[in-house]
Amino acid sequence: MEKSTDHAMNTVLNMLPAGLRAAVGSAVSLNTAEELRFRVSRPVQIVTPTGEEILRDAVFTAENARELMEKLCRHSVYAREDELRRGFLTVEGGARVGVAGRPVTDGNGIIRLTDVSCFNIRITREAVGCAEGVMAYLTERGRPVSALIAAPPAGGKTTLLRDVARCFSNGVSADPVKVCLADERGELAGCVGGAPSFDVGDRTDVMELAPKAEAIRIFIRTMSPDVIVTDEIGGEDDASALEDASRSGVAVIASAHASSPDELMGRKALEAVMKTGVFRRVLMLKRNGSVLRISPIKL
Amino acid sequence: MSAARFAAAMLAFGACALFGSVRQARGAKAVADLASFRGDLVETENLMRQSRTPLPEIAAKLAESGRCPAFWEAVSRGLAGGLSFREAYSAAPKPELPAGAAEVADGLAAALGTGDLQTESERLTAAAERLAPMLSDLEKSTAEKGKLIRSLSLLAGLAAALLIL
Repeated sequence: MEKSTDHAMNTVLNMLPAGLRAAVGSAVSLNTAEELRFRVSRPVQIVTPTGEEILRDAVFTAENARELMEKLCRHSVYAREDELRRGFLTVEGGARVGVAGRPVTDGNGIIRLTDVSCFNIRITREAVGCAEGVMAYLTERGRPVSALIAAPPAGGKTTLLRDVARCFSNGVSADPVKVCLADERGELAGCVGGAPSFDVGDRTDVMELAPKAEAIRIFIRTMSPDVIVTDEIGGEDDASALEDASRSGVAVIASAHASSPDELMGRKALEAVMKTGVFRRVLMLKRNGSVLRISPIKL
Repeated sequence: MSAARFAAAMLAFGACALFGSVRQARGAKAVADLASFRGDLVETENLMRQSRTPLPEIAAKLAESGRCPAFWEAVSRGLAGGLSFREAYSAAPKPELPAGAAEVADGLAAALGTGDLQTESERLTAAAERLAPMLSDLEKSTAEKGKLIRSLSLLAGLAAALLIL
C-alpha cells in the first residue's frame, strides 16, 4: 500500500557524513527502510517492516554525530532549539529525526539538549489513496465527523492522516471541504518554504511546528475550517482545544498512540481527550509487516 | 628654466601628492571594511534573535543587502554546497581587517551556528563589542595618519619639485 518517497530518502542520504552515506546507500534493506538508527560507537541499524539490518562495517563516530547534527540543523542549532528540546527535528521532505543526548535542565524541564549521540531518522512514506477505504467511516452524508485514529508508534497513523486530509480537501469519497492541518512536528505536510512536500489537498491550510492546541484555536478564529487534522493528541490543553473546535462546529480528525482499545481508554495522557466526548468514531490501526489493517471500534 | 624641467617638477609634485592620496584612501577603506563587517555582525545577531533565521538564509540576505556582499556571497555559496559555516568562512575572500579584528572574526567563525540562541547572541554581541573600540581607534589613527601622510607627501612633492627646478 505504501510507496517509498525517494525525495525523503535522498535528502536523508545527502545529510549523512560521506563515509556512512556510501555504506547506508548500498545497504540491501534501504528500499524498505522505515528507520535509520545511528548511535555513537555502534554500527548503523536499518529498521524495516519485517526486521532489521545491522551494518557492522559502518560504525557511527562522535565526529559523525557532530557533522550529522550540523547538517540536520543547517549549521544553525539556535534555529532548531525548540524542536531539539522536544527531542526531534523535521528535515526537508518531512523525515522526522528523533535525537537523544545530554539534556540541560532547570526547575521547569529541559532547556537544551547537548552532546546528541543517538539519531533515529524515520523515513516518511506517502501512500496516496490509503484513506479512501475509510472515508465512509469518517463522514456523515459526505461531511466530516470527529474521529480518532489510534495505533502503536510507527503504526501508520501519520500516513493515514495525511491521506485523510487529502481526501477531505480534494473531495475524494467525501464532499470537498476546507481542511486545516495542525502539523506540530512538520511530518504531515513536510513543508519546505511553505509548500507541502506531500499531497495534502488543494483546500488545505498548514500551520507547522506550532503547539497543536494553539494552532487549533488560531485556525478556529481565523481560517474558518470545516475539519482540522492533527497528529498525536493528548493532554489537558489539547482536550480544551478540541472542545473549542467542537463548540465551533468544526470536526477534528486526530491520531493518538495506543495499541489496543483498552490502552486507548486507559492511557493517562488521553484521559482528558477521551472525556471530552468530541470523538464520535475511532479507528484502530494494526500492522503486520507491511500490511496495514484498519478497524473501527465502538466507544 | 626650461619647460622640460618645469614639467618634471610638476610631475614629481603630482606623484607625491597622489601617493599621499592613495595611502589616505587605503586607510579610509580599512575603516569602512571594519565598520561594514561589524555592521553585518550586528545585523546577523538581529536576524537570529528576531526570527531565528538559519545561517544559510542570513548569508544569502547579507549577500544581497549587507555591507560586505562579496564575502557573504561566498559564504552563502559554501553553505549551499554543504560546507559548515567555519569551512565556508575559511574559503571566502574576507574583508581586509586589521590583525586584532581578523582574530575576533576567525574566533567567531569557528563556532558560529553550533550553539543555542542565547550563546549565539552573546557570541555575536561580544564580537561586535570587541570590534567597536578597534574601529574607533582605527578611525582616529587613520584620520591622524591621513593628515600626516597628506602633509608629508605634499611637502615631499614640493621639495622634489624645488630640487628639480
